[in-house]
Amino acid sequence: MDSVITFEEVEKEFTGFRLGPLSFAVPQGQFTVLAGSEGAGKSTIIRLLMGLMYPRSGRVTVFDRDTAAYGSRLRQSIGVLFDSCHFYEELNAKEVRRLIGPFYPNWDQAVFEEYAKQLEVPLSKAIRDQSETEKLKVSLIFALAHRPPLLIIDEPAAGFEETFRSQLLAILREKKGEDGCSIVFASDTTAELEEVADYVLFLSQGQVASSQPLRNLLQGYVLAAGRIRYLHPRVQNAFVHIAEKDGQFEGLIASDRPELAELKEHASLQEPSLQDVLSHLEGVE
Amino acid sequence: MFYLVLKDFWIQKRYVWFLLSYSAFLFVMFQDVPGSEFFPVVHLMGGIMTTYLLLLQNSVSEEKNNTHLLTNSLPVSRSQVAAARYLTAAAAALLGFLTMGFVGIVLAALPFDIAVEPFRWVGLPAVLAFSLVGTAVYLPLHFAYGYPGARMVGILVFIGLFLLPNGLANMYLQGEGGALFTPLFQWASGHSFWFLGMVGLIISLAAVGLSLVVSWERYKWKDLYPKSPARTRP
Repeated sequence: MDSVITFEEVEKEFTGFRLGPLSFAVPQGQFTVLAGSEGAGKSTIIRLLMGLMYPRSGRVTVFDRDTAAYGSRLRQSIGVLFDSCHFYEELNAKEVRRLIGPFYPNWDQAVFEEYAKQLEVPLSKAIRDQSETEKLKVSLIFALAHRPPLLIIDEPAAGFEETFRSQLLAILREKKGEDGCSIVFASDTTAELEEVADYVLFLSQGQVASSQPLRNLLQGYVLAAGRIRYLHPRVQNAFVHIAEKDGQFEGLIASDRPELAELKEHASLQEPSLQDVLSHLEGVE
Repeated sequence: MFYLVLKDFWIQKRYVWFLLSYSAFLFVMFQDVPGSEFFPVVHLMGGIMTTYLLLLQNSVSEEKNNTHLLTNSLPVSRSQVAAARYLTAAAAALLGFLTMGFVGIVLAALPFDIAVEPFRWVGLPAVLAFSLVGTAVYLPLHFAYGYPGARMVGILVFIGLFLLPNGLANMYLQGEGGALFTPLFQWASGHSFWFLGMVGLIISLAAVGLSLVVSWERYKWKDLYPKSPARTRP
């Protein structure tokens, strides 16, 4: 499978935070969830992709081209929705469009207006007078209007407003289906993303904890729950992570573990959701 | 590049009235009355202050809205972003000079008792030269340290440049150039204003060239992230 993004031994350091060395590839034409808790390194990865930051070492490529050398040209093919709006607040969306549109040879005014209508974006209202969700909607239509083959979404730590999140996911599903667009969705909250995601890149403390297709990830584990006192310590040790509360446990265990047969007798087993897997993997770290 | 410069002006469009009234204010304050020292160089001062105010307002706006992230997410290179700001400064100096000319013509036509220095193109090279020298000092600091790091130096440099033309004119008229300026005045007195302005412009362009290289070097690999937290509204 072709990759739209690759990180090769990428390292980046700030005060109190170290990213990498990271090596991973994001498949082309797929919906990739970039998961991890706040501070895991998701926004830093996005800034590295956008050429807002450069790695201390290693190489970042988008569409097989090094972002350090081809950054400005590559950005014609990337639409990004940052976790907050960075437009000039004195202007309204129509004015911003007049200033930003000409930078993109593929700018499609019809697409801009169509999404503005669909999302009910107040184009004539000054950005500073808009709610946080309205600002994000404005940012989204700008990210979509030049028909980029790669879309990057960075969900704020507080999450998108519920209705907007649903609208956004519907649009992204459509983009993936119709245009074969590659999508990277960075989020702390993976609820609903499971329905649309193809691939999961899970970060923890600046490292890749897991990078694989969603189906493989979910099939690779079983979620078990039951009473802790029936759990033999040997079986308990087989869990990837186990959480205990009021004599009950819930844990994640690899689906190829031989202890599963024994576990079946004392616990309920089910296929985990993405949220289940990631929260347990997060617990391990 | 054109749209980067256009952007810098567009975001300041609400200051048009301020610019016009500020120009009128300069004419009124420093009109040709006995004792006024500023009159002969009032167009020059207008151009310098317009450049400074536009650069300052752009920096403030950028800082407040984190728009450096937006600008650098566009399909433009860092070197284009930096170069565009220098072009903006040059265009602002030209705009300030022309605005002074326009306001001067309007004031002269009005039935007020205000003596207005006639607009002369010969002042343009000097306006550009002074404004670009200030820009050459300010922008490398801006690109290296952002607005907070460059603010104080910017204020001092541009106020110095604002006062310098008048100071030089006074020293020249009173024959008090000292060891530094007397030879310069002697040399200058043998040349036309056009020639002197063009020499000043060439020197300032050399300074801009050097400054641009420093700005590029400092900005090229700079990590960009939100400077101020996003302001939220319920």
